[in-house]
Amino acid sequence: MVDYNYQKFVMADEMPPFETFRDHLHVGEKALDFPLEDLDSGETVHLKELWQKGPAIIEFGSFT
Amino acid sequence: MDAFTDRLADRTVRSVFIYSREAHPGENYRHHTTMDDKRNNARAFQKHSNVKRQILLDTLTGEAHRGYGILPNMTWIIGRGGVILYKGAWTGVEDVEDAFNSLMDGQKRRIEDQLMPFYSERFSWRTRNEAGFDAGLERAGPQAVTDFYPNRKDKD
Repeated sequence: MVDYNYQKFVMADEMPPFETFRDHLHVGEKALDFPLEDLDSGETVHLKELWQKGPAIIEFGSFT
Repeated sequence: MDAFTDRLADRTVRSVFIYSREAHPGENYRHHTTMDDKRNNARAFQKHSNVKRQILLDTLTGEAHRGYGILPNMTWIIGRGGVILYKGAWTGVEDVEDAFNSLMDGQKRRIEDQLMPFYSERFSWRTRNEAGFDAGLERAGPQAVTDFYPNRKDKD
């Protein structure tokens, strides 16, 4: 957890995931399901619920 | 992205923002040590950026974020049923919109026009917006600025 939520941005630590991204989870494969928390309601949302009735567009990010 | 997804006529499309870890933590928006840290920063982001899309919080340890490749601002398009149709290492709105519209258009015309899907890869472009990025660092706090520009004089 300490490593994931880092206290300090270090450029060199950010580069390896960019290099491995193209070999990680490919187009044509099954999307991964994870439980998430809806910010407004606090309810648990399973990612797979998003693509049950139609396509889903999923952006990852943060304020900073 | 909100403007693009607002334009979508198909209301079955789900467009969401998954809140992960702070990419550039600073004194004002620190790294998360609890889910409340994450909730508070996500609410500040929602308000500041007037985000209309549903915001979903990843776990504190970033299971979904790590599962999808752990990049700070990636976008994925998933087809109905769960097949990955698009992965972008960065969120370039024009590229996402182009890919999405092309995928949906082909889906709609596939029988009448005898279309067959195929796999492809390409590099794409996104707006750099250095001023906006720097403003974000300053909003996060002085530490975020010095962490990203350790040789600030070189930049100026």
